[in-house]
Formats: sequence, C-alpha cells, structure tokens
Amino acid sequence: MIADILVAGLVFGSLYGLVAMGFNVLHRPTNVVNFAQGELIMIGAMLMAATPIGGLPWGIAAVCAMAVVAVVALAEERVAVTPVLRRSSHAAGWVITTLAFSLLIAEAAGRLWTDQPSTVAPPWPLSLDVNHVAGVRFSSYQVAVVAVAVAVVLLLGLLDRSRLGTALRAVAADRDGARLRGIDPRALTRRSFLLGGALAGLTGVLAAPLLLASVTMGLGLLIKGFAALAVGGIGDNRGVLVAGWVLGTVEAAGAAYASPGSQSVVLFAAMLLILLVRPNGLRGLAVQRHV
Amino acid sequence: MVTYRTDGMSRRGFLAGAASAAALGVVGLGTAACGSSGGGGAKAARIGWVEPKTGRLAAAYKPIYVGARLALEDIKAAGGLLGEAVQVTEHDDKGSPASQPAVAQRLIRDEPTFVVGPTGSSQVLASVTALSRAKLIQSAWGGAELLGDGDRFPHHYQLVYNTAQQARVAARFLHEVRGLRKIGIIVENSEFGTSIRDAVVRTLRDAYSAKPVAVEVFEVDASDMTPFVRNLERAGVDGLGLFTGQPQATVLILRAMAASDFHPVIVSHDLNYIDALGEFPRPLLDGFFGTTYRGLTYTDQEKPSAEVRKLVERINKHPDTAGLGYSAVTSPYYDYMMLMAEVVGDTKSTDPAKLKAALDKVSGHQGIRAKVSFTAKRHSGIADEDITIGTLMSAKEPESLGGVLRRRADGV
Repeated sequence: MIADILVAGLVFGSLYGLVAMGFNVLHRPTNVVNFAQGELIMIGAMLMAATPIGGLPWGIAAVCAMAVVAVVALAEERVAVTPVLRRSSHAAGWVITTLAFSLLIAEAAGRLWTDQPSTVAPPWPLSLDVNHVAGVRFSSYQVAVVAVAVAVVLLLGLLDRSRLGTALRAVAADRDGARLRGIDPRALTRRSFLLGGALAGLTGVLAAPLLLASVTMGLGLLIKGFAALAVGGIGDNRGVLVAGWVLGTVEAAGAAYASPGSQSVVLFAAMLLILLVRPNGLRGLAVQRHV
Repeated sequence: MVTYRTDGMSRRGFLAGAASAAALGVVGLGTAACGSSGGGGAKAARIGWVEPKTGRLAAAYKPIYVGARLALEDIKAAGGLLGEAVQVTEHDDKGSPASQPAVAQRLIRDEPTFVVGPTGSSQVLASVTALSRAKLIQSAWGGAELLGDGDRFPHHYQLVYNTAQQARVAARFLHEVRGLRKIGIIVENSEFGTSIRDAVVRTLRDAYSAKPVAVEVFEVDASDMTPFVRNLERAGVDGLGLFTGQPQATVLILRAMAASDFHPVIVSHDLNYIDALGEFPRPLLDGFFGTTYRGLTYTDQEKPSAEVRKLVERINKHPDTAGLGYSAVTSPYYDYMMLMAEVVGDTKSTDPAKLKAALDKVSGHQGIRAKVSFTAKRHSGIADEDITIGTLMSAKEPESLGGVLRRRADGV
C-alpha cells in the first residue's frame, strides 16, 4: 500500500511540479502568475486526442501540440499581459486579464468539444500496463513521466545559467533597471510565454494518457500546480518539483487513509503546515533583492 | 411559428430586427415554425428556454435539448398550441448556477407560458429557487429529491427519476437481484454524490438490514483513483454503486480496477458508452450496469415501442446529437414539451395558474420514456416501476439503435 502511495505521489506530483515550473518560466520576466496555465495544459491534452494532431506519430503530434499551445500563450501575452505591464510593471491587472483569457479558452473548448474524456495512448514502447517489481506496481509510462519532469528541471537549470537566463534574472529583479542596461523586457516576456506555453503543452501531452484528455482537466491541475508553486517557492524549479512529489504523496495517502471526502482537507492542511514551517518554500530560498 | 431571441442581442437591435422581419413578412430568426396565427382567444404560448449556449458545457449539453427541439417540430406539425404560433425565447445560462438569478429575472420579465431547463442539479436548484416566487411552470433536468417536492417548489415538475429512486433501484439490483452481500459505494464529493450515497445506505439499512462494507468519496478533480479502488478491493466488495457526474472519474476508476483485476458488479446512474471505455477488458464492462427508464430498454421478448424507436431514429439524425444519443433520449424535455402541449390543449389556456391546476392532476400520461403522474404535493413524476437496470455493453448491440437504447439486465 505504501509503495502504491509513493508511486502515485511521484507520478502525479511530477505533473503538479511541471505545472508549477510553467508558472515559474512565465513569472520570472513579468512577475505575472498565469491563471490561464491550466487551460493551456488542457489544450495540449485535447490536441493529442483530437483527430488532426492525435492521428500523427506520437512525437510529431507532441511537438505540434506544444507549438500550438506556445502560440496560444503568445497570444495571451499580447492581449492579456503586455497591455497591463505597459501601463505599469507593478500593476496587478494581469490577475483579471489572465483569468479572462482562461475563460475565453474554456469558452472555445466548450464549443469545440463535449465533456466526454478521450484516451490517449502512450508512445511506443511505453505503456500503461502494470509491472510488478519487488512488490511495487508501476507502468513504464509512469517512470517516463517522472524522468521527463526531472529532465525539464535540469534543462531549465541550464537555461538559467545561460546569457538568456541572466537577462531573465535581471528583468525579474528590476524590469526598468534591466531596460536601462539594454535588455528588452518585452522580447524576453514574449520568449518566456512561448517557452511557458510549450511547457504547458508538454504537461498536457504527458498528462493525457494518465488523466485522460478532457475539457475539465485544467482547473484541478492549475490548483495543485499552484499549491506546488507555493510550497516549493516561486522561482525555484527544483523546489517545486520536490513540492509536487510531497503534495502528490500526501494526496495519495489522504485518499488511502483519510475518512471519505477528506482528501482535500489533508492536502491543504499539509500545505499550510509546510508553509508555516518553511515560509520561503521547501528549500528555503528567500528572494533577495538589492536596492 | 417559432420565434427565437438570444440574450446577446441589445434591445435596440432586437427592435430593429423585429421591425425588419415584420416588414419582410417573416417572423423568426430561428428554425421551425408551427401553425398559423389567428383564432383561439387565448394568448399565444411562449416558451422560456434555458440552455448553455456558451461556456464549458455548451457542446456537452446541446444533445440534451435535441428532444425539446424535436417536440417543437411535432407541435408545429400538429398545428401549434391552440392554433397559434409558439414563441421560444432562448436564454444562455452558461451552464452555471451563478447565472441562474439573472436568467430568472429575464424569464420573469418575459412571462412565458412555461420554462424548459436549465440542466444540471446545481443549476436547477439555483433556478427554481430564483423562480419560485414568479409562479412560472418549469421542468428542468435535476435529480435532487427535493425538486419533486410540490410543497417546496409548487411550480417545478420533475420528469426525471430522482437520486432516492435511483438509489432504491441500484441497491435492490445488487442485494436482491444479484444476491450480493459485500456492497461498496464510491461517489464524488458533491451534493449529488452525498445525496445518492446517503440514499443507498438508507435503502440497504431499511429494506435489507444491511450496510455497505466500504464507502469511498473522491474529490471531483482527483488524479488517481487507485487508492480508493484498493480500499474497495481490500474490503472484499463484490457489488459496487458508482455514482459520479464526471465521465472522466468513471474511466479512471475502471482503469484502476482493470489494473488490479478487480471486477465487482457495478451499478451506476450513467449508461453513456464513450469511446474511452474501449480500453477495458470485456469482463469488467460486462459487469457494468446502470439505472435507466424501462421504456428505453429491451429484452429478447420485449422490444421498445414504435414511438420510442421512431424518436430514437430522429434523435440519431439530428445534427446536435453529436453521437450522444443516450443523453438525448434520457433527457426529460421531449416528454415535458409534449405533456405541456397536451395540457394546453386540454385546458384551452396558456394561463400558468390553469396549467398548474391541470398538471397537478396528471395521471398516467404516457411519455416516451415512462408514464408521468403528478399530485399537488408530489411533483416527482416518474414511478419507481418505470425505472430499471440496463447493461452498458448493450450499447454495442444493433437493437440499441446506435447505442441509444439498452438491454435490460437479467432478473430485474
């Protein structure tokens, strides 16, 4: 039973961590938390189930889905984020505008698709067939999801150390100051939304075989991804992945042991407890800003 | 003639449109027309129509209103209501409970003869509460037991079986028909899940002096159903009541069962066959049953009536059905519209007070799905004997007419 809980915690926690990493990518140059992230993920999953893209070989379909979601995210940046940031880099109007964009996506999805879920097969040679190893039950696809999440953390770490990453950190620290140093924050914002959108698309692609592709899947992932972000620490990709694993495990344990209907209470109680003890996130990386 | 007005149109736009249409001698922005105007003396019947036109549920709920649209066609073919054009005013509720008070205000302003919709238990509860003072005749698709309480909602008429009725039929099937004694329940954490769980537990206790060996409640956005299913398996469950409004949750529960070769007899409230079920082993799906209307089922000896088969064929041909014929045929709206047409014809009136008095005396009205009866106190119109258990996999049989009808389970 404990092994089942740990497997579920790692697998679904990896998805929550990926959602939180998407938040991080967009947040860094803009200080915006994208409330449309859940719906972007939903688009990625639904595209994998939709005939024109889902019918392609898995790798091509995944790239197409990521590209489409990246373009949608860029559109979001154009209509819902940049106009707000142009008025003031410290304005909080993006809360409403990204939420409104999320509603627009949900609206479009509601016209395109019904609420019936669709299955998406994992790419060959992976499968959802259960393997038993030393009493632990897992599928090859579940292992792949965890591995991809770890790989994404490593890639984002490499990006962080690149010239682009340095520029992103500069913009994150002081958008106006970075502009005075010759960095174009708007271009970086566009790139971040493209990257964040592609990451949301990847999360949807990965989630579809496990959760099924459905127009209703976005909200749940958004909330749990946000919880992973809060617990892991904004801007800390390793932290949010670990937080995702912790929350995933607590969620699975709550389902197994808590009285009926108390899983959410257990999950959010654990989250509050962690934040009380580690207010700067699991790894405790306090944000420093020199002024 | 049927005229349509949508909420998105401004007052000025509507007046301009109406004036233009009148000038052209054409009244109506929508489809269908019924009867010619003139005569009768009573006011022309107006229908207030509540349906999500936008929002996440727009496409999903469209098939549910196909029956009502077909009923409009039939009313038209019969010469309209009292020989007059039927006017339909559509209101977009976005599939949201929060939209219902605003929609109710518009309905009250329009003073329709009767109201069709909304759909969804939460939406219906919000709507009937908002409309309760306006004394508008209404039938919506909500399964809560209290929606059939004539004292509480005297103008709402429930033409679907409620959660308590479903629970009674499901518990009887598992305990009495199948003789199972280790009954488990798995429900979503919602008003619907809680009410049907309580009703199953109550039925087992009162009718059979039994209690479930396991009760699992999952969050509607739960990612993994494995822990809940393992709990059921550990409790030795051999008969399971599975109740959720989320088709995704049903598939994830079945996936967790398939992964551990756990195949109890399952009774659900939903017999929609969706493509996502194709991944599961046949023995698991062969043990999947659900509550449905007796009139929509068949056996080797007993076939559905010609009227049912004809309606199913029309539903299957309708473009809005989009392959969701089961939802379309189990919707209450065809029977409701035809009942209202009959009541309007009998009373020769469109006065809601007279219609209510007549509806409260309806007894044994033969609908497509079941017989319908009301009293002033009992507005839950479907009798227990018209609810039965169907098999999921009969959706693949030719007799199901494209997955719309169901084979009745053995022994019920």
